[in-house]
Amino acid sequence: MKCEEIVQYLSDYIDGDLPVEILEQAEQHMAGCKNCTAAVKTLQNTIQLYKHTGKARIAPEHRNSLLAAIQEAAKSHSHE
Amino acid sequence: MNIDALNESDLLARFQSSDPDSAVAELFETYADPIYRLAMQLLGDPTGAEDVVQETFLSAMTHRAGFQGRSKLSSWLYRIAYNAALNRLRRNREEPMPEEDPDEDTPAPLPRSLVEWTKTPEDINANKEAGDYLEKAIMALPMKYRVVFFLRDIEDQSTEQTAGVLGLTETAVKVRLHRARLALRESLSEYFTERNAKV
Repeated sequence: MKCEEIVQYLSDYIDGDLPVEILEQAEQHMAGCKNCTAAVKTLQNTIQLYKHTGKARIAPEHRNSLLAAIQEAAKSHSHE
Repeated sequence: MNIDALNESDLLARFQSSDPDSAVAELFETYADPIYRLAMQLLGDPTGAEDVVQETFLSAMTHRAGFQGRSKLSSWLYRIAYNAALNRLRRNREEPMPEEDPDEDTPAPLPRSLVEWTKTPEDINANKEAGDYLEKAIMALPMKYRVVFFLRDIEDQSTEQTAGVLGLTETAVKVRLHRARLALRESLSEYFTERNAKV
């Protein structure tokens, strides 16, 4: 398996979705390929950084008024 | 954005009852922020994103009797929010709408930056410039990739759930996720490699 092929499988590889026969070939290639190993590690690191940083939340000062407006509407719906 | 099956079933029953107040508050507590984040990915505007949250819950209230539980509550709410955000975008669009932007049939481009780097979430949280760069990199993705990456990798939705929310096939979700991940990896690799070289 060549680097060009590995690239197409990177996402499935890190998600554990590769069929066994392709997984074996991919791991065999990566054991001797510094570039593909770096690509996998930095891809995993990229995903982890996005997963664990900067999860935006509704501004605290808007939160209660937003919920109140929704609940007000909920009341009118339940009385229809 | 996940509630276990037992609690979801109880929550749905209360939401669909004639007295949904407590369920609405719980739904808001659990789902308002994830919906806000989805809308932010699409609109990039906090006020518009809050409007989408409100619109999503009001629409859910109106149509709650028709929800039959074939998908998870989270997927249903994401779907409503996604459509609400798209409707806003259609009024003032500057980039192609996701459904009008076909997937490339050429293989994903080869990685260019192959220097290994390691950063932890703590590194990013301690460095405003790096945090801003991550935000800039994801917002630079085409919308059709950004929203898939957001649902799959940031909000931990499954491929099947993501496909359901966006009205895509699972294959299309995988293709878009792959391209989004590679583009972000490239962007972050260039940034961190350059920063490391300067130290």
